[in-house]
Amino acid sequence: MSSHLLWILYFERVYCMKIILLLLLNIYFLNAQIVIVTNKNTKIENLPKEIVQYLYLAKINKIDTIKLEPILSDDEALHDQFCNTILCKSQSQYNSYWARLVFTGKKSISKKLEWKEIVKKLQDTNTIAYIEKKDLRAEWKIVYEEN
Amino acid sequence: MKIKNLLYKITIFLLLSLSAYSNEFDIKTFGTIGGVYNDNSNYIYRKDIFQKDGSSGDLSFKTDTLIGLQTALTINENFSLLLQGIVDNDYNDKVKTKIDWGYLKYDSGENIIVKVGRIRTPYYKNSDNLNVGYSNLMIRESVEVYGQVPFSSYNGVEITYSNIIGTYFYTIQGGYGKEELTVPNHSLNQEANVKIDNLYTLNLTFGTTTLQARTTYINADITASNQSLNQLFARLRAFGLDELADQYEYKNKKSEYLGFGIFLDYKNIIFSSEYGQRRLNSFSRDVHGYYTTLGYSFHKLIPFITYAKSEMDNVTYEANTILPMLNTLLRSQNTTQSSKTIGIKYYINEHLDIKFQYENVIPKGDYGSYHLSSLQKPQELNVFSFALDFVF
Repeated sequence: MSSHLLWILYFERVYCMKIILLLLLNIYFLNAQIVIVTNKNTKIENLPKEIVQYLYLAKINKIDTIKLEPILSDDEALHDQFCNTILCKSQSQYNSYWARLVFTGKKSISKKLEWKEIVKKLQDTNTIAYIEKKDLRAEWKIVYEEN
Repeated sequence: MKIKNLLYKITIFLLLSLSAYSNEFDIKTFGTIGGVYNDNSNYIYRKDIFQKDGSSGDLSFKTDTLIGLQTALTINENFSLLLQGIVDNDYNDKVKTKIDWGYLKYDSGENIIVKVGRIRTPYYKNSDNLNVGYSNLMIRESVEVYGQVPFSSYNGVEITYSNIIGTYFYTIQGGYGKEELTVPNHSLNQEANVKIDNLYTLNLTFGTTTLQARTTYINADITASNQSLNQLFARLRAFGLDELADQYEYKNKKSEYLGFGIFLDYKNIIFSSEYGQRRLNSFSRDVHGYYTTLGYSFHKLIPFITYAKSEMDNVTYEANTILPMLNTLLRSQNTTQSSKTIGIKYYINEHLDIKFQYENVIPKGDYGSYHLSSLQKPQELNVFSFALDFVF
């Protein structure tokens, strides 16, 4: 009787561990890898994370002599992940930051674009965008990737 | 003042006229609907010195509620005209429209921005966006620092240069101008005409998007007068007390403000602390104060705590000069207090947030403290506030 109970407990434990492992894997895959891309013909190869942050937080708009326009995605989950991983801010803090810039007359906030518009915008050499790495196209190149 | 009003009207008229001919005209609104309850009916709790009414043992919707409008007209790639006005409750307890700032802006598109017109004075980190509740964590900034200097805008010119060194950015901001305004003294039920000349501002910011430090230095020649003040100092001089009159009369006095701040915004952690000190060399005495705020972002919910304190370099609530009238004036300048605040900010969406906060204020000395008015012996205040902020 007691050995039967031990077997049940053993299988329950294994089953629980499997569920936890599955949940962890799900979380890993839900957080898709974000990369910063630009047109392949842009004369920029790599950008440090801080410079990407400055571009997206409107501290700078040029790298050397190349003017860059940061593009925002209307994919809420992607934008939220971008704010968290690349900008190191919660989306609410990001909104608050931009409200401060807009309502002090410093900058005007860019419109969030659909995927089709992002693809079109990236035909220009003076644009950067955050995308999921799996969506990378041959005509683009990665200028920043989170390790 | 009439000339100032006329200039505002001309500016608004020009902006609206030009908007008819331009596609680059942008209008945005912001505002706050807020309520405040101060449990101590011996004090009137106000948002700033320019409000007549506030909460005194009752619920006040006048304290924080305001609506603002911002217009921007892009003339070309480099030049734009910007104007921000608000509607709120004023010193005469009336709903009033006023221009907060408005200027012609030149943006080189690289590192230099020049503004000419009515400009915000860069005392504090949130000087520029004080009225935009959505962009701030607390319902009101700590008065122990943000209340030290009553004027927030000036007429003049400002030049800003910003750039990066390696992975750090910096901003140097310098300004020059002047300002005239009427400042109430609630404790004495008086108003003073304040004239600010030769106003120089310098502000340096350095850091990353995560960690920033700033320092501000402001210098001006200030005169504050009204009939009662003029009579007081004339009487002192008539009695041969020129030294006392020179010490306290606010006439073309070299005045300074020095401020420091450090700010962290990393992942979910929000920390900010500012220290400010004013040197006025007049009956309005020298003060120093600081606040420290810590918040943590749980996705859309940000709870926060703040501790703030301000002290006068030489306390005035025990002033004991030869003239009782001067003593009354000095005592009414008391700004010694400390406060503890706990609150939450909840982001509803890109346009709305809601905030709740509890503030415990401990004034020290007679005549209340910042923006409070009471003739009672100092007592504690418990202030409960809520606000709905919006931006569109």
